[in-house]
Amino acid sequence: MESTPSLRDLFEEALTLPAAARRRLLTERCPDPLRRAEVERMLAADAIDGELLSTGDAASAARVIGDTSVVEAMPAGSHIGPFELLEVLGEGGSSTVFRAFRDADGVRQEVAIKLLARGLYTADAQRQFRREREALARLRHPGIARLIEGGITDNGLAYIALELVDGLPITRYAREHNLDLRQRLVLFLMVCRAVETAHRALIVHRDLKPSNVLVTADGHVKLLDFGIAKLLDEDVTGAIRTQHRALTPAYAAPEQFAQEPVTTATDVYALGILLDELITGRRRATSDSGTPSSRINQPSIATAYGPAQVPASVASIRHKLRGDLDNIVLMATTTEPEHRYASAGALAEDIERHLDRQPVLAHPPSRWYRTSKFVARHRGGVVLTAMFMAAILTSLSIAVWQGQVARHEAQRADAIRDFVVGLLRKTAPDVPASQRPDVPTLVYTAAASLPQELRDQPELHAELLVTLGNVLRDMGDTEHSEILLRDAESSEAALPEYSPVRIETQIGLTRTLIRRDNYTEAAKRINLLLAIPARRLPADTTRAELLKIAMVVADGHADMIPAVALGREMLKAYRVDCAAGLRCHELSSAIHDLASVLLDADRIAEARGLADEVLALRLHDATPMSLANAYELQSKIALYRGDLDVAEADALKADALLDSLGNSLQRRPLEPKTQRIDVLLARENASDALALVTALIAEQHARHASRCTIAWSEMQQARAELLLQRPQDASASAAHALDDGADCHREIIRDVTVALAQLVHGRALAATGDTAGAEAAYAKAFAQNAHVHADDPLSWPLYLTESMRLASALGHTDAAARDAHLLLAALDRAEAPVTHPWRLEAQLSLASRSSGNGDVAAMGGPVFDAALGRIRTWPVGARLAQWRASMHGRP
Amino acid sequence: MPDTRQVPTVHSTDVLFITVYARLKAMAARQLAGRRNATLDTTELVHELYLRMGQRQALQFEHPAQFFSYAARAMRHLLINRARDRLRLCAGGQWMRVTLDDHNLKLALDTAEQALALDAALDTLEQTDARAAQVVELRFFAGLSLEQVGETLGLARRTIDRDWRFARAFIKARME
Repeated sequence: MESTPSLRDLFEEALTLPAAARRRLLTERCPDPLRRAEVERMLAADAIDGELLSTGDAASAARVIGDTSVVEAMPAGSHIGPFELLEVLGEGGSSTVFRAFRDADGVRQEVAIKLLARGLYTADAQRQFRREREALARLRHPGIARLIEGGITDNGLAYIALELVDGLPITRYAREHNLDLRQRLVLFLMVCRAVETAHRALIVHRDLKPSNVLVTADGHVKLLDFGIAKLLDEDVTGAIRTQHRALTPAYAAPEQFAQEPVTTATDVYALGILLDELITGRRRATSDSGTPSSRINQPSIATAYGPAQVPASVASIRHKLRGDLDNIVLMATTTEPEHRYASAGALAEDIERHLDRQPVLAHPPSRWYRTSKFVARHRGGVVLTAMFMAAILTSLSIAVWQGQVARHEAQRADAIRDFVVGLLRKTAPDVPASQRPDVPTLVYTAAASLPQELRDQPELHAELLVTLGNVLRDMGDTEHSEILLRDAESSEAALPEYSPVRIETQIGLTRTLIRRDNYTEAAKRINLLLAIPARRLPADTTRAELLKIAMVVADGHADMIPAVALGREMLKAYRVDCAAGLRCHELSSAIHDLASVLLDADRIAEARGLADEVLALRLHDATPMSLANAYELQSKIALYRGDLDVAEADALKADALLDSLGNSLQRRPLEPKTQRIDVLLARENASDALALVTALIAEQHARHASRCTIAWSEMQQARAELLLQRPQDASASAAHALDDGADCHREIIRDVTVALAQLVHGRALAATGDTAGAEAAYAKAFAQNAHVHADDPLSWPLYLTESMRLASALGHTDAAARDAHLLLAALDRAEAPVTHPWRLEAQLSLASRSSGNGDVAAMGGPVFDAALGRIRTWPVGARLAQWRASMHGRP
Repeated sequence: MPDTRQVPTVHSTDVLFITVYARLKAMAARQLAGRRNATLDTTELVHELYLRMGQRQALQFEHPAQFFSYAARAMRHLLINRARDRLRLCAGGQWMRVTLDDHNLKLALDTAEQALALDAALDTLEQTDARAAQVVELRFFAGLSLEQVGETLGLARRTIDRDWRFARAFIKARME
């Protein structure tokens, strides 16, 4: 059997041949039209000279793009939030630190501003940033530099203002003050106590090192940058592909290098390295596993303790280190996180025991040798478990901070810790990889078997269920989310009617019901919520938020008049709030959501105004994610209006912005991909569209996306295949779309997907010669005609185009002409430009019909020529030009 | 991928890469700061870096190819990061307006988009033909001549020419 030649073989073989022979070669050797098209494009590209980038080599391109480095853009005297910058204190890969000040009531306050250069954003960036920041702001300890405030600059960069600390790195302080071993240990205890406080609040430092552990002139320890490394975590210090995280190699724990989750044990490791350096004067190399006592020598002691101590003290210090302190350092810096001290507090207690001359907990390695061997054997399981833990801890700890009932906080943190421990037990390392449950399943099973003592505290129990239910919904497991939220509801019966947790439950449940397309029940519940008097609502629930949910429910029900009314009321509420300085950051998404509803309601002009407002707002203050949303909306409207260049550019921008987020815990939204495909197909760039849509469908399946959503992609796949003249494939894809589309009756976009799938299926059947099948498909699509416009006004022109094409293919010239007229009217209404390919196609269709009556001249007009000329480089332009030429060629 | 185990594990490779990247970036910044409208001369930078780093015991490369491939990678990241930053900050209010006029901003944005497309195409090429992709990195990002690429990789000039021609067409076809 002859194997398929590789792309490279085909390309190089074709290069040796003249043009005509190339075509023959490709036809013979390359049956796949997609690949053939690719080789043809490569040959065309090869024939043209020029650099890879139009601006020349990499260096010129870098120059043209320009440096967006923060320091350059932020000279002294510029402002970040309310602060005026004084000077740069330091610049790292992921952030820049400035000294800055503000005048508040005539008092000059100096602060350190940390401007995060990029990539702090996780999927729900801005909200997440605010939550983290609030959590950090609540972290008050005299040994931790206080977070003063944080925000987002005009340029979309996040900053945090921290207490400005005037001090020395702990190692240097110890050296300059000639501290002896005991004094050093006491100083180190202060560090541990500060870290322990943060750990109790579930905040991990992640980047402890001498330059972050300062000692002030009066001898107080101040830790800098607590929890901030996490905000930087998405950053990659430039090395995107190595997925490098914000860490300092010398102090980073093995799990940080291995990209495994970071826990409190990570800080314990860094503390161990720091302790080692503090008492030996030498920073430990990553590969070094020797004891501190074995590594000291005269120079190191001279560095650490000052020359006066040497040489007499080397032996003396070695003696003091040997035993307890050696063991303490080794235990803190064990490779496996689970064998280190459980917390900074435990480490501190062991050091205190040593200072009190009591036996320490740390043992020589032989004692836990056996267990560590076991762990080494089951590494996969342990790693996996740790990843679950990180994912869940992240979600839960955020939820904890969000909670408004302060007195519950400690109790809740304990409950959550117990819960996580329960989870860990369930993922015993002995379970084979294939049988390990995924995170949602794990969360669900653990939630379903919450311990009895928790059930005895109904409020706490319900809160945990609501939190987990919301987490599951956000993870895409709506089914189990619904079960947990209903459980929460039934366990709340004894609580007062308007208790915050009950209202939270109702809101969470309504949101889940929406995601499950159960709009009828969602409508009942949201109406009950809306009936609650405003003063009874919990502090962080607003009427505007409830109105927004109600709008989404009405939109889902296709009750467009109430949806628009609710939406307008909702937006008014947000605007009033924002004018009062409240929740301004939610305003742009409120406008965005209303704009989407208005598009569904065929109020496109109004939607467009709002979409522009969203973009304008987000250009000033937004995360990449929300800016991508704004661009996607712009692209949709531009596509409807036939401004295909703008539609494509905006879709690409949305996609690129999401790319810039890199990997994050939550999944990247796929809508911009769908939008790009819609645009590519409008321009009939079928090969790119097909490549994208094939990948998209695979991703949608992997994510268990709703079948109706997949149906749309399959319909687009069929359209691409039709364009590539693969009617068999197109027919199969369209059949899949119809199959999956059977699910669409419950969804917002329903009739249009099915109707389009019918039309495309019909066209594919017609192309394969199955006229009867094509007629049947046409009839079914025609029957839905009336619904389509009401259902999805934006897709109306596309529907007409496909309908016109199928009617022409079947020889229904009158029907095709009617569609062509409707299409021209729809395009006029959308103010589509004269160069719009569908417009030209409709005109050609009408002309070819009249040319049958002898009127060929209709298409000879200069306007048409000019229009066609402007899109000639697009694939669709070539097709239309060919069509026109064939009409003229006809006798 | 060559097995890097003997060069003590992933950590040191990471550290090595980050070091190269940080130095290159710092040198680029200095070169640009010195002359207001200066061009960023990749070749000069990479060679300067090589000369400096060759003397450092801490960062010994196995052979020149390894160094140049790091340098090219670093340069690629530098360009792509700039492009991403630029696109991300295309929003950026007065910041952009003071540094770039509308025409230059558009050019910068277009170039940034192109650079990202190039990066994506190069990723795809890596899957199809890793060596051709490496030739592009060395040629385009590290600024080596095709002759030098051949010497670095220890391959005949003819092979490199073919790799380059294929890679160039592959990438250009994808960037259309």
